[in-house]
Amino acid sequence: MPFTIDSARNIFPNTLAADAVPATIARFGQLSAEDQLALIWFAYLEMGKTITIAAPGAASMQFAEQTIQQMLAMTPLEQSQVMCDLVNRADTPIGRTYATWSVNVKLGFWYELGRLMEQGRIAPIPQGYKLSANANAVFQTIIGLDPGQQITVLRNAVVDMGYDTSKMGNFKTVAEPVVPPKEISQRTQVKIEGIDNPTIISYMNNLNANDFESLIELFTPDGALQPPFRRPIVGKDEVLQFFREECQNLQLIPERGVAEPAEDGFTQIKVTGKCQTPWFSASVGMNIAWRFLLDPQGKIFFVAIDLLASPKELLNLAR
Amino acid sequence: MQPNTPQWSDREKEIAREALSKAYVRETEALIAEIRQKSSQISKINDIWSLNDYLSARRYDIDGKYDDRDSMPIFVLARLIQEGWLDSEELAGLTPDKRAKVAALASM
Repeated sequence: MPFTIDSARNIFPNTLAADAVPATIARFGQLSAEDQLALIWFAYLEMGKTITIAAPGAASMQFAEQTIQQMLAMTPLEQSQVMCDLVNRADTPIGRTYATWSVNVKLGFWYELGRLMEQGRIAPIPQGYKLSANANAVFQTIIGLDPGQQITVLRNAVVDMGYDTSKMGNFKTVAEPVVPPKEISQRTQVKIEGIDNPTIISYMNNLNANDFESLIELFTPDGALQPPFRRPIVGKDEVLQFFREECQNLQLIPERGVAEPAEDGFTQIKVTGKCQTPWFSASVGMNIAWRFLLDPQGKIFFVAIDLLASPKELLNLAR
Repeated sequence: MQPNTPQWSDREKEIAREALSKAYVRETEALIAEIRQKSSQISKINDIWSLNDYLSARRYDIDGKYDDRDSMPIFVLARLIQEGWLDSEELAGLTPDKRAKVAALASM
């Protein structure tokens, strides 16, 4: 039976992903807007004790700048209302603007708001604010997760805010500029124990070099990429757009892998290792599994990226 | 300070905390036994999804209910008595007016 994207998703089925992440996001969504904002703030402060957040560059901050300026001109009450409106996914002009932003523009916006809140130029979380018992339970869960899972929960909370794009008809995504690929002299080569498959090695090296044009050529035209906790993104154009919007300046550090034949001349390959994002660099290494299904010509028909449940999953290369 | 806010002595706060703690153990142990039982009766996929919904609702309920940082536990205590996780006798040591309020709320 030929592979479909759906059947491809089941390769290496005993890979244990961090189910706590989507579950915690669901619980977070049940909280009031005030609780959600306060929780993000407290989690940000707590995490800041052990991990370092890198300031976004001017190139990505330019898009949120106008909205930040608008907010700076508002009263504190209006500023708080804007933040609550974003959490509530309200239909407001700022909510609609926010909805068009790529992930990194959204994250940069909140990073800047956080800075301005610390400086007292944007309304802070009220002094002595007490999280509800439900919010406190979610907060305790978050700080009990490993750092890679923590940042994923908070990232998803930020991404989910703003007006619902499915209600917006056509719009143009606002994303930071695409960086050029690294110079050959700047590129690194990964070394993966147990894997010498050239497609896999090229995938890792090209992504590390921001060479998305070369990277996408490794895929079949109907190929798909499945990010953590999301549905597969299908088709070369869509996957390329995903790379450009969400995968710039990642640092993939694969460690080990296993390759074996699958049906119909396909090959299934699982690699585990770490991944760093430009927001946190080496201060957070996410534990990742990459599950590839290559067609008989060695092109990527499917790749799933899983955020692992624990570091011991890095050693799980069982079928 | 609001008028009519009851004062809680340290001893009363201790009684309330112990009562919450006892009720929590009872409720969570009962939930464990209940889920074991329910899961042994699963026969179709919709049973699993119902169980998922049930667990999510129970978690939200339990996470939100036992707030011992709350300075006015009257409502929580009343609810726990109403649900059967506490007996009103376990609140012996609270002032009569507090016990009366709890009893009134619990019988609603």
